[in-house]
Amino acid sequence: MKEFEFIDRVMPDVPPPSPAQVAAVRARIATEAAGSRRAAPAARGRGWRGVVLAAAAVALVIAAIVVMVPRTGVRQVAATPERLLELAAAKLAAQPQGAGRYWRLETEEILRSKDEGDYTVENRGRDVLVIGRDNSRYTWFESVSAKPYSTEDTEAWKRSGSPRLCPARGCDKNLRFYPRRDPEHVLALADGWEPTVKEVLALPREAKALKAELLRHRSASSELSPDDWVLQTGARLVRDVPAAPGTRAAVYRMLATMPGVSVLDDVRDPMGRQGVTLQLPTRGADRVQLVIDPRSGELLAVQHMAPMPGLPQGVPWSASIIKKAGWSDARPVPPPNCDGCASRH
Amino acid sequence: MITAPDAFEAVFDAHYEEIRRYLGRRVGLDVAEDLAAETFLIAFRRRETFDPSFGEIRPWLYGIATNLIGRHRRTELRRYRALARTGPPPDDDGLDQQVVDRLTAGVTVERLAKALARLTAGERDVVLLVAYGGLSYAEVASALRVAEGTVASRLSRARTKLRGALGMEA
Repeated sequence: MKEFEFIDRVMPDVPPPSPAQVAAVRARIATEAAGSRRAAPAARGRGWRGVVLAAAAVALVIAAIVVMVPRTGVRQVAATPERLLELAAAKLAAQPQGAGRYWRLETEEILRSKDEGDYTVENRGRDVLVIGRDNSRYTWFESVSAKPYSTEDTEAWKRSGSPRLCPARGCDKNLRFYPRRDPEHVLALADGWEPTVKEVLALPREAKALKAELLRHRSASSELSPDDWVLQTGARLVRDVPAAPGTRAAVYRMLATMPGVSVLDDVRDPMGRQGVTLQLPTRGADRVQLVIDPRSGELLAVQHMAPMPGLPQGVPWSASIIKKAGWSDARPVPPPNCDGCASRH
Repeated sequence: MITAPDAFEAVFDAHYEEIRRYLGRRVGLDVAEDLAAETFLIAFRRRETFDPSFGEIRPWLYGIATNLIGRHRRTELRRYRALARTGPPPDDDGLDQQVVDRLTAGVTVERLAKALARLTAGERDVVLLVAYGGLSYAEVASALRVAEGTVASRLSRARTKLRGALGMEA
């Protein structure tokens, strides 16, 4: 729902819990639910002794405690990136398919470039894409800010007289919002393959079957090699279209086994969030990284890495941060005077 | 019905973080950590009475969490007053992006916190379930066990108050 969105944006957020914190709460709930009298203060006095559990249930809960609480002094086995990815995929696959009439994707788009002048400028913008089950589509983009990237860049920008940096809010009052994607073709996964929402939702939830299905749609005349076709359609499936959680999990598993793809656990997205990352093979100079939340399996960001003059190594020159992706009944309202931002099939 | 504890674990995994975040943004993490755990304890205890025909699991959890906030109204109001005086804490991930958003919307944390403190408890519940939880009218109604018409009228009153306090279109 859009109407009180400004509250969500303006009010301070809270930092996410660490996995250890979550595990502690999980264990605490398991303990207290099992009827322990050594309850933590917050839940005391609410009649927990009344909780009756079937023996099997208790056994399960206890098993959960044993698994979840790392005993002090016992070193946990180090999780490999591949294992982290598998856990993330399993989490995602267990998510229910979202309900609602509209799928909404909101991203923050970052571009760092050295177009003119001898300083790097960072452009940020917001992109919104909504796809309705009724096949209606809405999309708009707003350039939000443009500023020198680093303190050195700021100095260089000042030395050249602090010119106004555009595009940004206020630069072009007549064109604050515009569609950056073609609403007609938002579901195109590759040249020559444009499924419907229904077809996207019906894609296989298992890696091998998914790969076979993706390749079935590649025509022999495609410019992309079969591997590149799978890489491209796979990346688009997790990022740009409303694929089912099971299908997205299958994409992760499928990509992880492709030649040239590596799984990394030390990559952070532009917001500083550490994720488990699928790094696709380098094409040209560019390398795409899909940064995934290890706890939920949801995609955090997609970033493009390439050596770029003026940017330190490891800093993406282009990135999309996923701000919101999911189904709801909230009907999208494109901004006023947004030409071509809505289309109905 | 969610009777199997392992099914309940899935519910916990799917919703714990967002419930904690919702609570944290309303009453602060000091209190919210406990309330989030308590939300799931209560949900676990009542899991056999959860009625899927009445609504989804998410609004149900938000409803339990919101009821718990009822016992901490003063904490919540203190938080808004503090924010109204001093603005967001310095460790708020002060992304430039957010600053830009704030300025553009013409809304500062200070003014918004003050305006939120002036809503009635019922209006605040409804507004923040929509704003933070992204719940629809129907989901808010199911979460709070009130009629959809009540949700609509509370939202409408809240909207008028916020608009007045912030001098903006809300």
